Amino acid sequence: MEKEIQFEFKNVSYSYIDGGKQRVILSGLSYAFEKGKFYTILGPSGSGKSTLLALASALDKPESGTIEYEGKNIQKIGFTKYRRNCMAIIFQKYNLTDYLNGVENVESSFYITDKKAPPNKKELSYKILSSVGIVQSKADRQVNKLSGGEQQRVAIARALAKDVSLVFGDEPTGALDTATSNEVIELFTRLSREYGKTIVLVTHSDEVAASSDIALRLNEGKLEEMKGNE
Amino acid sequence: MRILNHGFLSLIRKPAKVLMIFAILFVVFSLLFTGVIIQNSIDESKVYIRKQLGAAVEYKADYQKAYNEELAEEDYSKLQLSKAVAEDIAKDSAVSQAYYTSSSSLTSSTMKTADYWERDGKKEYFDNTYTDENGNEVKEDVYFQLNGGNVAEPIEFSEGKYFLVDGGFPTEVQVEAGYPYAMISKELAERNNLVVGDFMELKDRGEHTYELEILGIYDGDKAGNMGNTMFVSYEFNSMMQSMNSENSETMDTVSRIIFMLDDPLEVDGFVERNASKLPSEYNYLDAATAQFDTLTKPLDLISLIASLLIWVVFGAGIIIIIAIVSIFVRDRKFEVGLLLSCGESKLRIIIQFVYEILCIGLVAFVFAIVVSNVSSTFVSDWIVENQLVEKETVQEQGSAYFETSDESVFGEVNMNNIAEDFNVSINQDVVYNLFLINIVLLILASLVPLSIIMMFNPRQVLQD
Repeated sequence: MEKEIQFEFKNVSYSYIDGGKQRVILSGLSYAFEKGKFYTILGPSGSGKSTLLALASALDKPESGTIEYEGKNIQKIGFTKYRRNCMAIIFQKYNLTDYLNGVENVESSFYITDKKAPPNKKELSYKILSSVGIVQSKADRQVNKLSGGEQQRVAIARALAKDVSLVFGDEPTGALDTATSNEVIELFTRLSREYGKTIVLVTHSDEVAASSDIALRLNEGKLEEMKGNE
Repeated sequence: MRILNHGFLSLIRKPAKVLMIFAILFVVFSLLFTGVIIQNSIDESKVYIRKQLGAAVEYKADYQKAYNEELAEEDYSKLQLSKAVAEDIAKDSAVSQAYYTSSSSLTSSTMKTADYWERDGKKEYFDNTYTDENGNEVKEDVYFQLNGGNVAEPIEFSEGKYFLVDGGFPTEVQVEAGYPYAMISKELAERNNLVVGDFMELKDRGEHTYELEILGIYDGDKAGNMGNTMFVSYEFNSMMQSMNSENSETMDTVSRIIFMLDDPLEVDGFVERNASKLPSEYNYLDAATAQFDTLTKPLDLISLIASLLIWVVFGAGIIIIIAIVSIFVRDRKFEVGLLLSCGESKLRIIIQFVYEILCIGLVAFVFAIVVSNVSSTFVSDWIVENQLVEKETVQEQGSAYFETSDESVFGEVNMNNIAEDFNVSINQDVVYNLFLINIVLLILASLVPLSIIMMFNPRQVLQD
């Protein structure tokens, strides 16, 4: 059976000048991500994991090469349009809007999209939050009054509300304790298995990597598969 | 929808920051608006003065200049007014009516004079008899001043200085044809038992006799002192003068030229446009400029201070507001990065932030308008007490050497009029202008830091 490609790096390079010297981060990197799989990317600090994710989520531009989403160059889709309609990203620091409560943060996803917003946005937001373990009383709290794990759940719920098939995570469990981290990883696994979403997480944790379908290592600017759990 | 909703929530859930920005905007706006309101009131007072002085511009001979420069007698022709030049100037679109007046005189040996002076509240008519060196009593003819106008209703009537108490004005045909009519003073009519429709027999120096029909009888506050003045037509005067002149063709009989403009505020522009058409440097267009300058001088200093205040506060205000808004926006840089990473457009993020700043700015605007209106009233009182009323005592000491107030066509205005009228207040136009300043200032202040943030890609915004 032919693999269905969701997302692909094609000969992507990226470097920057540091202290007068050019530092190569990615060098002719090519890799295709399959639809509905849970990927983790490991690598030592400074290996370029976050850069890789920034390029994948169109937060930055590659020096050369192309990045394709469902066979289309994301530059041609338009970076803003791609970010708005095709993917969601979850950060280590949760990245929630601090003056909004949990449900308002999730609800905002319905507005930042070209898709038609459903009429019952609030109810739907509560439902999504409930599916990630946030009850209504907590959903109505200002996000900075929630614990780290709860905030990350809200961030995941917000990504879910976007209703996209590609979700990136930049060390989403990095600031969480082990128990909470496990719960969050369990959530990502469910997203992949139950909702068919393609998950790409950058992590330092071997445990997180062990939970994924495919673990990749970023080494000298190239991605290498470490294992496949299929 | 998201922009309005989140903008509103941001404002009500971060009151400390909102209050800080509000306080700064309020102070800057209050200072700025106070300056603008004072400036506006001064401008309005100047307009008031100009309007009070009227829309008349007189083409005059500058006798003061000729006197000061000791002009040679043979050059006195330079002082002569030119009707041809006046007719050219009268083509200016601002002119609603040009008045040409010629002066002449006629005498009568039978009529009684209407010129008088008052002693102890009683009128004493000028005696036209005297005793000659041989001791004989000689009776002199009574002289009458004839003002010949080119319009049916002379300017003295249209400007309300005199008014008809009986009869009417001549027809245009009578004026243009030089029909021998006259409008005489009530005093003269009463002294000589004359009524409308009567004819007066008068003679000139050359012993020509003229029969003038009385068409109207006039009165007015100053008519008593002008009792022997009659209003006739310009053509009649010219015809009469030419009969007594040896060189009638070259003679320009015009003695007074007044241009009445549609709008008093057009006066300065009219003078500027037409001054170069005057035939000599001893002619000028008088729009009561000297009086206007004297009256507005005390206001100019305040105006200068208000202008300085406006520009200094505007300049400093922009810097302060940009600084405070920059802090406000910088504080939310993370939110900008987050919104960008979610796919929100830069334009919509800018709109949300500008919307929030504008909301705070509008509240600050309303408060500042109220406060600056009150503070401007204090400044207004100070200006009236210390600058206008006080200065008036100094102004009164001055006098114009060649000024003949009885003949002036300019409106009467003094410092007391201005002081009464000088009222610092906010009208709709000022509020509108201040509102525009307010909006421009805030949008500029919000756009500067936002544009800087927007120049980076979302990753840089999120990382810094």
